[in-house]
This record gives sequence, structure tokens and C-alpha cells, in this order.
Amino acid sequence: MSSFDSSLSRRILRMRILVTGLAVVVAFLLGSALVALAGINPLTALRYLFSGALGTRHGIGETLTRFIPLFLATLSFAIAMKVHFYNVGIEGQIALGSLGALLVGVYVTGLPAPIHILLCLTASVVFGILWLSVAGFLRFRFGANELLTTVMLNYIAIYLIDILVETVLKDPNSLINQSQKIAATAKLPRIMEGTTVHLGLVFAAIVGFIVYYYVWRTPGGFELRAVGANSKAAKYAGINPAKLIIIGMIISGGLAGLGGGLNLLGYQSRWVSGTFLGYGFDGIGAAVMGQYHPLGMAFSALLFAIIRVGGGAMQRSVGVPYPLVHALQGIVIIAVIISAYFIEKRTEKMTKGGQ
Amino acid sequence: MKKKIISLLLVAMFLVSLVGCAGAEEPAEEPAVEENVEEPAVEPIKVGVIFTGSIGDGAWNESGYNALVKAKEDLGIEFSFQESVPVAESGEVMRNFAYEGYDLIIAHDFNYNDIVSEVAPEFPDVLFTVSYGYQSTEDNIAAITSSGWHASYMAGVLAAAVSETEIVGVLSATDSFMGKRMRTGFVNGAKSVNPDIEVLEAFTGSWDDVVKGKELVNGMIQQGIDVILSNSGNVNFGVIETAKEAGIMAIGAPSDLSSVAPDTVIASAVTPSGIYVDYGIRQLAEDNFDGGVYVLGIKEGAEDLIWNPAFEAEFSAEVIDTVNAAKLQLSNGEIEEPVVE
Amino acid sequence: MSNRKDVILEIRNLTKTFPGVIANKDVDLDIERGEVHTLLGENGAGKSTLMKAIYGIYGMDSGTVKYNGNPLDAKSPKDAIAVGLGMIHQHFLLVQEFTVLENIIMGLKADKGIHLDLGKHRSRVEEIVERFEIRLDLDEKVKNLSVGMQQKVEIVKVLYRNAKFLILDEPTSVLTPQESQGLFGIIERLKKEGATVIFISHKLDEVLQISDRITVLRDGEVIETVVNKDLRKDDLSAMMVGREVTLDVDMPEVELGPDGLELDKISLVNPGGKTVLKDVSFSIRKGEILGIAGIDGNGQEELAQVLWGTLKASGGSIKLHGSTVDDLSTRKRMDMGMAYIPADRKKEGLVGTFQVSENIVLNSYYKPHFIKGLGQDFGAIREYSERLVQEYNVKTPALSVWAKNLSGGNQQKLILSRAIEGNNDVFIIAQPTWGLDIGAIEFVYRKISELKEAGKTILLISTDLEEVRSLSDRMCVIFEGEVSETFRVQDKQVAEIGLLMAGGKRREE
Repeated sequence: MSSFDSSLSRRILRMRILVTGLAVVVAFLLGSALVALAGINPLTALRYLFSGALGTRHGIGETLTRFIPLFLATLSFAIAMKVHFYNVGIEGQIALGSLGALLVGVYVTGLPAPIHILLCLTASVVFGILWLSVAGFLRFRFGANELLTTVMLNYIAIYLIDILVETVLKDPNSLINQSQKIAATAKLPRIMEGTTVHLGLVFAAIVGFIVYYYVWRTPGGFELRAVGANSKAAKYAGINPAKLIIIGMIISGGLAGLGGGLNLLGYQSRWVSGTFLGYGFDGIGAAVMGQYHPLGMAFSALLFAIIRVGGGAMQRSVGVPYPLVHALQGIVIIAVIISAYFIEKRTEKMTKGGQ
Repeated sequence: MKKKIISLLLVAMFLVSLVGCAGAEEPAEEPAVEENVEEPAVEPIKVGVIFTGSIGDGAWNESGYNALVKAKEDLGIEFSFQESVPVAESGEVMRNFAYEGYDLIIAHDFNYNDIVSEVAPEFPDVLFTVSYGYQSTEDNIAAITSSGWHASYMAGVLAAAVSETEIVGVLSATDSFMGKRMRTGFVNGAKSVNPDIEVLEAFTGSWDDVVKGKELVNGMIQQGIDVILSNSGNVNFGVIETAKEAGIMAIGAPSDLSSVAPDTVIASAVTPSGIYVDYGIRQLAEDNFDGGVYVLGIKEGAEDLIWNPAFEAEFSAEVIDTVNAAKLQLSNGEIEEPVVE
Repeated sequence: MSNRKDVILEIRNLTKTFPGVIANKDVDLDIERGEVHTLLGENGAGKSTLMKAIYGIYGMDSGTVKYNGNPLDAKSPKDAIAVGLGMIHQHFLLVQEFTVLENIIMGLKADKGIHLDLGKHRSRVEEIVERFEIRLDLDEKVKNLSVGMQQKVEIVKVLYRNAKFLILDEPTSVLTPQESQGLFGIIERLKKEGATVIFISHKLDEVLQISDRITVLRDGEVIETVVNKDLRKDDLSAMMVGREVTLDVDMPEVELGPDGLELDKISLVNPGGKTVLKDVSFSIRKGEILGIAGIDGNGQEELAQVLWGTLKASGGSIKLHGSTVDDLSTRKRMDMGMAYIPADRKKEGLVGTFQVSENIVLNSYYKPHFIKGLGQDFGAIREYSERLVQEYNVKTPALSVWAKNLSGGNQQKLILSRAIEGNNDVFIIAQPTWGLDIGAIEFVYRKISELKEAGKTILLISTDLEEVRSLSDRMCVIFEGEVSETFRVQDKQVAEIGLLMAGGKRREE
């Protein structure tokens, strides 16, 4: 039985990768058609997309730098989805995580670098969790739908941080509305010379692994998945669903906050009023595309980072309009969602049990 | 088993990407850049532009883009651009342009100024301009800005010349240095015509809070103003609407708003943004690019007062002459810069 | 089939498939005008699917249907209703807040513009009710009616749309024995008035009582159509299952031990303020099976949940092995040897998208022998799952298969295996054989008898009265949250129990 067993798993995995890959290819073909409609040779555009993001040292650096917050946002959404909490407020939690890192990074001084960095990141995690728990509180106390509350909280978060940066946190030496830069001791060191890739990439990799290990290999993760898949059955098996939903929310908010913190400490160094990062929203798409599996999500987050960076290259080189770059991302997401439906049908067929 | 493989792959992926990058240290884009810089006479000037928003915004970015197209026709430059670049990520776009061999990089928003200051030292052979910028920390940075008060000064002159109640108003979006300077310019212009005139000042604190803008202007109308200059983004439209309802005159800004309410808007204090794009390109084309902060005004065409033709025909020659005289004085640098505390 | 006389519905070569499943294969069937024709078969034999295909709910893949000699190709129930068919489903489609009359005339076309002539409709409905001798208060709200009465509303609704051909899908599954008899009276009456009735069932007694002819289906195919004359139950069940079966359980004689489970005046008021359970008291000794009979929705689900700790009782006390467990969590009760086999396998017993092995350890994944370091010991889990799957004969192509893809019987075997292998000694078993085929039922009954033999304490909650009677030592009946006195199974007649199930008073006739 056991050999049959793992071969089936392998066949399912192969099928999932194949179908998803096919969907991405189809999406790129459709995107190419749009580019062609705009009067641009799609092959040239695609070449610039990939060469811009991966063809040069600087491009790779940029892609990996974008990947860091994007991957954490992706994980954040996926974890919350595991317990059926629709956290579409990642954008706001990232902003708050950035704020946490910013406050500690600017106003706490005189610490050795490793401690200062850890303190900043702790603050960003806590801020992310606190921001999500507002939506959590509204849901558990008043039954407010988190889809609505988290979206609203996104706007509040972004306005909040902008207002702070325009007033009390404003850099007195700057003419524009921006905060001071974080102290040198709070900066995450760059790890790839001549690029912006910073130590956050290693953090992201470690966190990705821990999340994977927790969800798929520990009893706690088993409970989390059980509650997400069927909370009634989980409850009857002696698991407390409310507790697990709260745990899932805490992890989700913490991951998003961490993403904001890493990006701020490693890349932005300050907050400029009017900044809209968009990683939170992209992360939702990447999570869907990665089918909520850590490995799949690592790849989809990478692909989204490539589209982000390569999209700029496409515009600079052959003038592909910016909205088209967004459209391409949208098409990829839609194609993958459709493919997920086929995958589910196919998996069901492949795992049809004996009578 | 499956899980084990996946976890290994996950770790491997990161390692590969790290190692892959570390290994890719040699191939760089420098040669391309050098080539371009060595033979500037043969190659057309390559200009890369960064916009904060869309080039189809019908305002700041669009007029910057139009200036680019015009420069291409007039001067034979080559250009490309990237839209909707957030300040936080603009450094990478500048570096990309630099690596890709562009001669001039135009950061078309003053918010990019600090980032330009960071990036420019990395590429001493590439020139940077910042539209509406405020500082130049390197020889290869030109911050091109406007007086910020010439247009509002003229608006003040016009307002005082046509006011019958001898009370006029000015509204800005912010109470920042720039907001205050714009308002003070208006006050000084008005007083230059009629030292006894009363000028009411206010700011909304937002570029979009139309309701607040209307309330403020309504308050001013209660106090008797009969001309209002509003230079506060989208709020302007609400202000013009209020002026129309109350039957007072309005001066639009920062583009020509006569068409919004042809019976209300008598003129517009404009600050066309194309000039900031154009200025750096021209300097480079004439081979006299220099770092520094350039303050452009009426003389350079960075600011102006544009009449609503209907009113221009209607106003007395005296009014027209007064405004034209002020314009000449500004051009000649005979008017003192407003003092903002 | 005798000489073809008056065939009203003719089905030829009907095939209907669902992805991966053949529901009906090459079905030929003739229904004669004015007969009561039963479709008999186990769950999943394709009886309902066949009728839903004809009725336009599913549509068919291939084959032809003729009604009154004309081809019938119903794309939706509307088409079927238009020619005079009417189907009564297992789940009623009634608006609870509407009156009986409103429900009957609901959805009819207006007579003039948007106007419905209520008076005219009322007199026509009254006419039908009289003709078929169905006792109904037209002005009563549906929510105040018993299930049996609601079924009558559905029947009148169909008759009012001029149905001459009625399809009743498992109509007795929700009825008390008395209510069933009432329904059969109506069917007789319908037959007298010239209607044709298709009766879908798997209960042999009532099939023999009511049918003119019986068609047995198995695995989606017609096995045989027989005239209901001198038929024995054994013959029919052999046809249904394809082999001889005996469902008569021989329960072992067991020496009873001390009380394993005691309930003292358990009561429950739901958040809406309604009393769901009222002073429920009984005790069960080790080695004893206590059965609770009753019609679905009378508090069984809540009682089980209160015992299991997923609902908190408003009052009263529960003792497990003599010690109070009222304030203990479900997990603590599990650790004390309690096990629960919930009524709804798919929703409550299994995580459908978890693998078979994950479901097998769903109630034990946290135990030390399934943990290695910080993580789960997948080797130990696999070994344990393999053993259970083998010992309990859970048919699955692999341990990694999703539990929702197993058949109902195999799902139940999985649930039983993990409950029994967990070293438990107090079992709450709800609806253990609901929807299972006869083979799986046999298995479940055997396991329950083994538990009894091993001296376990067992509470059996079932809406299947026969099941409760054949498995239990003692039983009681639950009605509107109250349980009757417990009595030994042999001490009361079915009719008497039926009365208790209906609340002790005669509800109809």
C-alpha cells in the first residue's frame, strides 16, 4: 500500500504543477495578445520582462528585494485562509509593521545592531498583529465580516501612517513629508554587493520554512488545517476551533507586519508620505496562484516580483503601458484560479476511493 | 516523503537564488553606459523620465509627457519613461535607467529629490534633474523649480484690480512653506494695487477635501469677498462651484480652468509642468548643463496668468494694463520675493 | 411482464452518468396506468437518480422516455409538471412562515395581471382535499405542522397542479409508523382516483404492503420487475443485495457492570430561548446498550453534543464512570475514555479534504506516540493507519486519498475504527447506519455487538426504530427534548413506541 500511496501523491503533485504551469503559459499568451493589440511586439516585450528582472545583476537584486515583502504577504494570506479568515488587510498590516520598525528604528538609539534590528522586527510583528486583531475583535465581538473590516483598515492604516509622517514623525530637515531615516544600527545589511538585496531575504527563507514546518508537520499545524478544512469535525475531535482561528490570525498579522518591517529596515529606511506598496494585494494573488502551498507560493511570489520589476523594464524599453503590466498580473491570477478548479476535479478523480 | 522533498526544494530554491546572484557578480551593464557617454555627439541624447502617476492624468504628469514628445520633435532626443513609480521604489528605477545607458534622468516630482541625491553619486556620468526639486547635492543634479509665487502675485494684482468690495480671498491646500509662499504672493500682489485691500487667507489641509474647501470659501463670502484664488487640487472645483453659486469671481490654478465655469473663472494662475522637463533637456542639448537649483518664473514661462478670453474682452483697459505691468516687473526681477515666516 | 396493457410511462435504454460514476445504465422500465409501482434498492442503487433524470432535475445522457405515448424530454421540472408529473422530494420545499393554502398556490401563474383569486383557489383546493380525503387545515402556518402533515401539503401541492402521476422519493424516511400508515391510506385513495404512483423505498415491509409491482435496482441497473404476489422479504433483499443477507443481530448476553454513564436532569435552552432538552435522565451500565428512538430533530443531536462537551448544558449533571464531567472539555472527556460516532459522517465525523490517515488520527494526533520532537511522527501514523485500514477492511486505494472520496460504508468503518481502537469504554453512537448499504450495516452491527461483549457502555441514538429495537437492551423515546421512561425492548409493541415518537397522542386519523 505504501508504494502505491506515495506514487499517487507524486502523480497528483505532478498534475498540479503541470496544470498550474500551463495556466501561467496561457496567461502569458493572453497577455502577449494584449501587448500586441497595443502595437508592441509581444516577444520583445516578454524578452524585456524577463531580462529586466533576471538578466542583470541589478535586475535580480531588485526582484529579490521585492520578493521579500511579497513572499511574507503571500504566507500571511495563506495562513489566514487555512482557518477561513479572509485577511485582505495585509496591505494595512504591512504599513503598520513598517511603522513599528520605523518608530523603533528612528527613536530608539544606542543599541548594538543585532539587538536593534531584532527589536525593530519585534515591533513590526506586534504592530501587524495588533492591526489585524482590530478586525478579529470586530468579528468575534460583533460578527463583522472581516472582508469588509480588513479592507477598511487598509485605508485607515495608510492614512494613519501618512498623517504621522506629515506631522509628528516628519523629518524636520526635509522639505517633503517624510520620516527621518532609521538609525544605522537598525539597517539590515545588504547581502549582495551592488544591489539592494538585504538580509531580509534570509529571514524570509527561514520564516517560510518555519511556517511550512508548523502547518504541515506539527500537531499544532494539523489542528490548524483540520479547523480550516472542517471546523465542525475538528470540534468533534476535541479541537477548539476558536483558539485555532485566533492563532491563525496572529500568525497572519505577524507575518504581514514582519514583511513591512523587513522592507523598511532593509530597503526603504524611511516612510515617505503617499507610499502605497501594494505587496498586500499582490500577496493575495500570489497565494491563490501558489495554491496555499509554501513551495508553490515561493514560486508565485517570485513570479509576481519578476512581473513587478520586469514590468518596469517593459515600459522603459518598448513602452508597454503601465496598466497592461497590471492586467498581465490579473490574467495570471484568473488563469490560475480557473486551473485550480480543474485541479480539484482532477484530484478528486485520481483519488476516487474504492467502494 | 512528498513533504520532505518540498521542504528541501523550498530551502534549495533560496540557496540557489542567493548563490546564483553571488555568482553573477561579473556581468554588468557598465560597458553599455560608457559607450554612450564616450560618443555623445553621435548618439542622440537618451532621456529617461520617472512619473509618480499616469501620463494620462490630464495634469502635471501629462504636461510633462507632452514636453517630452515635443523635445523629441524639436531636438531629436530619444526618451523612455516609467509611470506610477512610488517614491520608495524610485531609486531602483533611476539605477535601471542609469545602467541602461541613459544620459539624462528626469525625476518628475519634487518628492523624488532625496532619492536622486542618494542615487546620483553612484553614477557621476549620468545627469539628473528633479522637477520642482529643492536641492542639488551633486554636480550632476539640477533641481528645477519655480518661484512659487509669480503666478499668485499676478492673480493678486488682478483680484485687487477688479474687486469692488475691496475684500478678496486666497485658498491653499496646505500650510506648508510652499502653501504660505503662494498665498503671500497673492497678498503682496493685491496690496501693490490697493494698499487698503483686505485679503482673507485659508487652507484646507487636503487636496481632495472639497466639502471643507466649500465651507471655507462660503465663510469668506459671508465676510464679503468678491474674488477668490484657489490653488488646492481637486478642491478647486468645489470652490469654483461655490463662487458660481454666490456670483463672485474666481481665479483658477494651477492650469487653465476657464472652461470649468466660463462665467465665473476670470483667469487662471498657471504653472505648466512641461517647462521642468524641457529645461534640463535644453541645457544638455546646448551642452551647458550645470548642477544647482534653478528657480524659474514668469520670465522662463514656468508661471503665468492666463485670461478667460470672455473676461479679458470685458475688463477695462486699466485692469489689463495693471496686470501686464505687474508681469513685466516680475519678469525684470523688480518685485521682492515674499517673506514667509 | 405480462401482456402490455396500458403503459403510461415507458423508459428505454436510459443511461445517466456523473463524473466517474454510472448512476443508471441501460434502464428499461414500463409503468402501467393506475398502479403503485415501487422502485426498490439500496442507497446508491440509482432509484432517485432515475426519477430525477426523467423529471428534468438531472437530465439523461442517453435513452428515451415516453409519457402517454409522447416523447418526454424534460429539461427542467417545469416540463415534467406541464405534462402531469409530480414529484415529492425527501426534503420539502415549503415556506415555513406561509399558511398551507399559500404554500399550495405559491408559484402559480396569476389569473389576471398580478391578481391571484384567493377565493377561487381556496374552493378548488378544498375540493381536492375532500376528494382524496386528506385532512388539512388550510389556514395553519406550515411551521406549526408535523412532518407528516407537511408531506401532505406537498402532495396536495402536486395534485393541485393536475398531477396524474406521482413520484414519492423515500416518503416514509421522515415519518413515524403511524404517519406512514396515514400516507399509505392516501396512496390507496390516489390509486382509486386513477392516479399512477411511483414509490421509492428500501424498506421491505412497507414495499410489500403498498405495491402492485416492484422493480428492484442494483448498481444503477434494473434487476427484475415482479408482481407483488406471494413475495417474501428474503427474496426481495436477496435481489437488492445480490446475495443472501441476515440483518437479524444476535446480541450476546453480557453480565452488566456498574453504571458507565449517568445523566441527571440534563436540560438545554438554546440561544433563542427555546428549550431543546428537558430534564433528561437515564443511566447505562457497562455491557449495556441503551437506545434512544425518535423522529429526527427532537433533541437527539443536542443531547449527543451535551454529552460530548461541544454544547454546554443549561442544567443537570453528567457522570462518566461515576465522576462528574460537566465542566470538562471534549478533549478531557476523550481522555477519560469517551468516544462519539456522530450522525453526519461527512460534516461531523470526517475532514473531507484530509487524507485517510489524517482522519484516522483525527482524535489521537496529539498523543505522545504520534509525536517526534516538535513534529508529527508520520512513520508511526502511517503504521497505525495501515493496521486500522486492514483490520477494519476500509477500502481505499491509498492512505493519502481524501476521506470524502470514500464510500459511505468505508467512511463509517474509518470512524468506527478510530473510536474503537482508542481504548475507549463509553460510546455515543448516533445514526450509525444512515445511508449505508446492507453489507456495511452488517459490519457496523457486528462491531457494536463486539463492543457490548467487551463490556463497553453504549448509547445508541437512531431514528430507525427497527435498528434501536434490534440492537438495544433497553430503550426510550425522545420527543421534543424529553425522553420517556426507559423500557426493555421486548416490553412494548411497535405501535405503542410509535405513539411515544409522535408525542404520546394520536396526531392523525
